[in-house]
Amino acid sequence: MAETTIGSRTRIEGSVTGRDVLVVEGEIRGTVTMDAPIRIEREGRLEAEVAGPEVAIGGTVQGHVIGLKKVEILPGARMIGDVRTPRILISDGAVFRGRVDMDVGEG
Amino acid sequence: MADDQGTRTEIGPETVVTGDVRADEDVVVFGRIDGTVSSTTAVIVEDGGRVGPRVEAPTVIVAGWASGDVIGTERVEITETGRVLGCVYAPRMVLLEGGAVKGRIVMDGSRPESVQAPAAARTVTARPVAALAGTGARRTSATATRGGREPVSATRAKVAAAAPAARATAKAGLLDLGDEGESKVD
Repeated sequence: MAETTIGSRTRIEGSVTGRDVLVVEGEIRGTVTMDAPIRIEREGRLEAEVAGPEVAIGGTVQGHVIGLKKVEILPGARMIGDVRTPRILISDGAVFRGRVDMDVGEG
Repeated sequence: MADDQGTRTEIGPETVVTGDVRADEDVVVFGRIDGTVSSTTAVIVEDGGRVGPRVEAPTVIVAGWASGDVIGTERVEITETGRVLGCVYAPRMVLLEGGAVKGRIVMDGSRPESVQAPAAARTVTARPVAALAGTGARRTSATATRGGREPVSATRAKVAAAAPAARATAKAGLLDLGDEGESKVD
């Protein structure tokens, strides 16, 4: 599967959509909607509404996150906002402030 | 990230970005950017990629489709598969045979009126073409899925070597434009 990478020295204001795996090392403000896994690296910063089948957060996210299959909040992550997903993993060392709604169908 | 040197932004073939993209690194577009793209190094629109209505960088290479203003503060290169619908602003330009421009080519140093050059873009030192070629080495998987054609970002050295011949054949590329185009070289 092809990949989209937002490099650490790139900033996007707007929306990112598509079917490629998305790796965020830089910054996105707006909306992110992918039909493939989304990974926010340690350097990555999102101020965005995020939706994807699997969302792995290792960086900073401010906004709502929807993971149709699962959401992982990794060590070192800073997540502020609500998460909606059937499966969630919050690692030791992650910072999370927000609500979790796990009452959604697998999708 | 400890190793910042190898980073770049790559928009995959099935990704659409709408809005504003600003980078202090190379931006390689296999997919689509609806909006403005600016980089302080280079923007490379690969075959199949689309950008517009504005792209700006010291070096802009178009192997895909660009509409609107294409601004290369140092140079613009349009490859065999490149299409530009709009204005090309560049002090130096290469148009390979097969590439096409419908619109204007402005080489007198002027720029689109509504636009100011970002200060950073002016001060960045030109990167040798060889350095750009190096950034393409990381592409492996995506290349394999693209029917064998190598991405421009992986073949920069070859394109640069072909450049002098390209100048001689640039006119041939312009013939593709159809008759409505107000094509001219300022």
